Amino acid sequence: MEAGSLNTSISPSESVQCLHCNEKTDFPIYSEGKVFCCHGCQTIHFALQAGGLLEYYQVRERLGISKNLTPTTKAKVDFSYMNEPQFKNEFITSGESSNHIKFYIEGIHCLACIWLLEKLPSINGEVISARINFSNSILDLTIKKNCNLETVGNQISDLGYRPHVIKSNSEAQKLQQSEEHSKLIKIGVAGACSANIMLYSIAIYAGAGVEFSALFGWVSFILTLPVIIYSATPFYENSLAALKSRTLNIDIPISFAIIIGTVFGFYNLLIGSSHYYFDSLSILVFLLLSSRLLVQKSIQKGLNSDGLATLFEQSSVKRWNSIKKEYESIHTKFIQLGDQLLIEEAKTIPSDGINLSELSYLNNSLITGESRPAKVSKDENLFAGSVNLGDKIEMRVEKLFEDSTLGKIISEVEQGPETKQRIQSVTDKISRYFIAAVFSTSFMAFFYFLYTLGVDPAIERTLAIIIVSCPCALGLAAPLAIARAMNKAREKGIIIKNDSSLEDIARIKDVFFDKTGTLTDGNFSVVAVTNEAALSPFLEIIYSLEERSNHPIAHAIQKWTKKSSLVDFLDFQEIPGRGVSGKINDMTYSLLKSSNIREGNTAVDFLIDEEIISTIHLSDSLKKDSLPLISYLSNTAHKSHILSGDNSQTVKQVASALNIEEANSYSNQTPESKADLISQHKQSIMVGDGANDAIAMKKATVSIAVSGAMDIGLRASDIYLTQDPLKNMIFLMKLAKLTNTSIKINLIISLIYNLIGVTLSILGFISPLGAAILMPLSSLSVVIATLVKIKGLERA
Amino acid sequence: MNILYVLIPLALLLGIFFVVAFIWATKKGQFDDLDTPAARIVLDDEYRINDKQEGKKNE
Repeated sequence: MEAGSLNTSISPSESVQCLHCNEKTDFPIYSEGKVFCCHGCQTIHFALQAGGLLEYYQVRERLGISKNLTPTTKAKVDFSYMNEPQFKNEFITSGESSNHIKFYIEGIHCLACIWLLEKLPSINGEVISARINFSNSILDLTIKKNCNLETVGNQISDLGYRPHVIKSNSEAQKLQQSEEHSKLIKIGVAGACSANIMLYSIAIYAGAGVEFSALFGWVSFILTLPVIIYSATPFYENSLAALKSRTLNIDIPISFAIIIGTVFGFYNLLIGSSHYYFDSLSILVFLLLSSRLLVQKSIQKGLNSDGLATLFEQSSVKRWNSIKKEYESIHTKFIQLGDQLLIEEAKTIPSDGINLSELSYLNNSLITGESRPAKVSKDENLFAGSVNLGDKIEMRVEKLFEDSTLGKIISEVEQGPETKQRIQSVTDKISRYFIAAVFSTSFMAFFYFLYTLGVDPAIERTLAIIIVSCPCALGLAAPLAIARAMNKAREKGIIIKNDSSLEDIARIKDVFFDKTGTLTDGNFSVVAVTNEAALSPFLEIIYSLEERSNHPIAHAIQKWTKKSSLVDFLDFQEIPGRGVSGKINDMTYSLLKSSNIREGNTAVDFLIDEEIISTIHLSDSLKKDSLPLISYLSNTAHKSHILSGDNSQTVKQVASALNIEEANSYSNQTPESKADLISQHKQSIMVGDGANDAIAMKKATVSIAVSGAMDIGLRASDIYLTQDPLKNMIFLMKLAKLTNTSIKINLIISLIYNLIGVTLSILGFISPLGAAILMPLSSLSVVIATLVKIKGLERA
Repeated sequence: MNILYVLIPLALLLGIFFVVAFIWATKKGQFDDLDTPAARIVLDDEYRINDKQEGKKNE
């Protein structure tokens, strides 16, 4: 099948489908008789064609993949830094005849991606093999000794993925791996032992004779030992940790039941009774360990922390080489004090320093939260994290990244003490009452039976109560519901890093939003024009005037005109800080800063021969999903707040557009004052995007990072929304609510089971068989309840 | 029923053998990545058109 034939008829007048990503587009790009929606798709398609990999489309079609195929890489990245010796020393691990390098690949979404990336050796002869780990998005390349890594970087990027190099074989990674192995082995041992114990228990329940009952009992006991001594150790460790910090958690009753149950079973074995409970106990350990691993796996699937550690430093910069007398590309990691750097258009400044260029415009919103572009003159300070909006800038590095303002924020976020005001999870709260209830019931029962029936039956029935009320289902209730919800969230591109945040979100009523970049685009755009009709004949002239200026406001106006042809001027002038003007046929056209600010926070006048024709108002525009989100929140009795580093006028405007009370919007905030405001609220959700929110996010009960690309907020946040952030936040709120109901239903079911079990054992009806049936049945019903609830999640 | 005294240790030995095998496999990293090998098997070098069913199953 020809790849091109995937596409049906092509007609320029109607919207057509992109050949690469199948996305419908009204502005197609035609190339060699093929249709694409964007240059990204076009580049990828021809990269595939050049590599002889057009089979990709068949693989993709065969796998039935239809979602999310648009490329991740938008900007061309310079990978030449990868060939620097410093870089190679740091990141390549050498083998005898070949070398290894690992990348975290951004943008892997389906099996066809694996196919494509593992085909790398066929387009690059220097790559010996490529192996990808789908679950953590890590690409492991075996390369030849003198492999040109720049080419490799470019090829991965051409295929539509974004490579982030990671250091392999670090100690921490090995430690994490061995910990995971030990968890798995614990589950394996518990599973094998409990399944064997079950065999002997069935024989006992079925009525094995006294001789065999004792034999099977001893065999079961021996098989239980590895489970309680080895597999169950995490429960003991957690219980001890909780007791040390004087709190209670679900692991305490579990550990208690395991120990008491084994001791009691052993005692019965010695005295010749057949009430052992070994089977139930080991199955309990097996189920609980498995469900916890399930939750952990679903967190890890969403995001691998290995990739995160190096994400921010993943960029290159041009450094002046005084020997070669030219700028060369280096990895930002290797910047040194006093280096002279060249910051290109739309690039981020990697370190604090001094501006060497005449005049530059920067977007400081990452650090200050201010949306208006900042003007920086020669010899003024530049800060890491600012984005260059104007022409190329030359700068001298004065501080290394670790010592820069941004670097300090990041280190505070990463190393600062955990100051979150966590909400106690429902399970832990209930287990506190649960423990109290079980103990008081057993005490009362013990003394009652001591008085009525004598010592032996009293001990037996009391212990039966404790064992039967073992909180198996209680322990399963939350993990199952959360694991399921997290899988659901991942499908929508929501990465949940902290499993307790889902429970917390559903209960918090105060939501704090950062303004720039979160609720608004962070870029200026035209919001209103006075006397628009009079302006329309001059759009081309306006386009041409602004074309010659590098001011960000000029870019915004230029974009708004939607023109593309240039007009020549006789006497073009740019008056810094005022605007531009030019002459055509003795008429002077000018665009000058206006003092008439009504809508928006900046205005520009269009003048013909000194006469104002029209005023163009500009503002940082709202994202389209902001209003629906805020309305949803207010409908569900949430209180929304705005925290912004911007001036009060801008903040007020955004607040009124979103129907947020003026009292709940805070302007001129510094990162620290944002954090203080958050601390004043007992429970809060902080939604933000930049470094100026990071400290506040760290303080909030739950923090949500919204951003189109990986960023610092991601490190500080509990939840990261990768696609359609604000729209998906509504989904997240609904999901959290459903998950909470699901947990509550599970808890109720397990409590009912316990109530029945305890009542029966008080009355003396509980036989070993009864206990053996009742305990797994309660876990089973919780599993079924969770599965039923999934249907509800699917509708959400 | 005396045979039980032989069979039970035998059964336990067999069980221990498999647990040891499981531990060995885990330590060797056989369970580190469960998703990719399952996917990789359908992405063979030569694409066979009649293989559609296999592909669907693994998606």
